[in-house]
Amino acid sequence: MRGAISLALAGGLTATARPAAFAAAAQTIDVRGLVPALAFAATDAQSGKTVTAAAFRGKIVLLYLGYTNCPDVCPLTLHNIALILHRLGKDRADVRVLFVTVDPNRDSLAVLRRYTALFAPEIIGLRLGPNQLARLARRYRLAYSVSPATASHPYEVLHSSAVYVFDRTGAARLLIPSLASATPDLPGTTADLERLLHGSSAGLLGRLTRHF
Amino acid sequence: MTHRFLRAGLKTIASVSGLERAQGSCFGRHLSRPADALICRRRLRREGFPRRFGFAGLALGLGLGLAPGLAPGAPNVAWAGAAPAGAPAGVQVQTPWFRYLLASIPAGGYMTLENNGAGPAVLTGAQSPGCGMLMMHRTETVGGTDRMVRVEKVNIPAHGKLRFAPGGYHLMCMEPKMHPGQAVPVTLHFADGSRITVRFIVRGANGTPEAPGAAKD
Ligand SMILES: [Cu+2]
Repeated sequence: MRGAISLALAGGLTATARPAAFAAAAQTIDVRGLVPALAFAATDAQSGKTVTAAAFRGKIVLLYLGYTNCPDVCPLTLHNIALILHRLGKDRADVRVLFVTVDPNRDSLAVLRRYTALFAPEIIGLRLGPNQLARLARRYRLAYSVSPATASHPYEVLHSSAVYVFDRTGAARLLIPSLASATPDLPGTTADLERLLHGSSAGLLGRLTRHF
Repeated sequence: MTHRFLRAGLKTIASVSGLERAQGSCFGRHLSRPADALICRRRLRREGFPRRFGFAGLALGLGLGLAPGLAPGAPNVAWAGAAPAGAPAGVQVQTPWFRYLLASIPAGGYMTLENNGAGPAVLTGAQSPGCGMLMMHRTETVGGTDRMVRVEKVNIPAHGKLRFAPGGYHLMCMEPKMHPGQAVPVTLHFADGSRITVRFIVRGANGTPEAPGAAKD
């Protein structure tokens, strides 16, 4: 495993070279083999019960970190995801979006559930304890910070813009650097998800058939 | 196994792009101490956007490629919202709207300010009976991360436009008392003492004025 990584990086694997391999959207990065598989244990805001990555096998999974007291960039991202789901049509049934709160102290399960339901039924609010959240963020190199209010500073939350995409087996496949854009590449991102959904370029056969 | 996997990747990249210090202070930590968060932010700023990066640097670097939607020439739905009485000469407000989510969550306010006057106009604040406290904010995207910062004043250049748009400048309506479909008055205050009262259309989570084909709430 270690050897594979070093080799890939030594081979000049850059963000500009990589998308051609799979991703159709201009900004999307193919992270296949570079990022660990989907793994977590969290409280599902819908059921109140513990849920793990295994529950999402068979689905294409989008992972995004945010918080509900976020009226600007999180709604923009989730709205764009809702537009992508709309474009997917019937295929949206095979997609789940995990909205993981980085602000579990303020985000109750009830608020998390109501917040995600505003955008699309496929969006699932997840809450992890501080240690598990830190582990999840580290696993995917996602950044977040919560600074409680002080006399001179308001309550402040910082979080990564990125959205990860995992395939039906739980393998990490794509990294969308940000959907918090006024001009997101909705057709390209939708096409990327469609390809994952239908597995057309998942294997060598798919790649060959695209060339001939 | 997983940790070794990550560390191997990280180390290689860090030596290539010099991200190690930023990674060390920012990634995978619960930065609940304000001091840590500050150090992290400073480092993120200093490290900037690496030209060459692998997966470990992606989350750190890529967000900068997508700037907030403040570019001129963006969609501009004409909506005669400005009440001229008391307004700075030539300032007009177009497409004012709130994205209302839940009563317990701030609503973001958006608009396009157009200054047809010969001098700059400076927006210094806003208030609304539908908001409790109403602040001006800007989402700052640095090193692939987003956060909101408070803004004291916003300059609208002479013969120029400035957009309050998702992902950039926005009004923070702290205690929204409103419902989608309503129009809520907002009074904008300018540095010269003048003010404009505009009615903001309240939209739901998936409502935007720009996308007529988009999912409606
Ligand atoms: Cu804000």
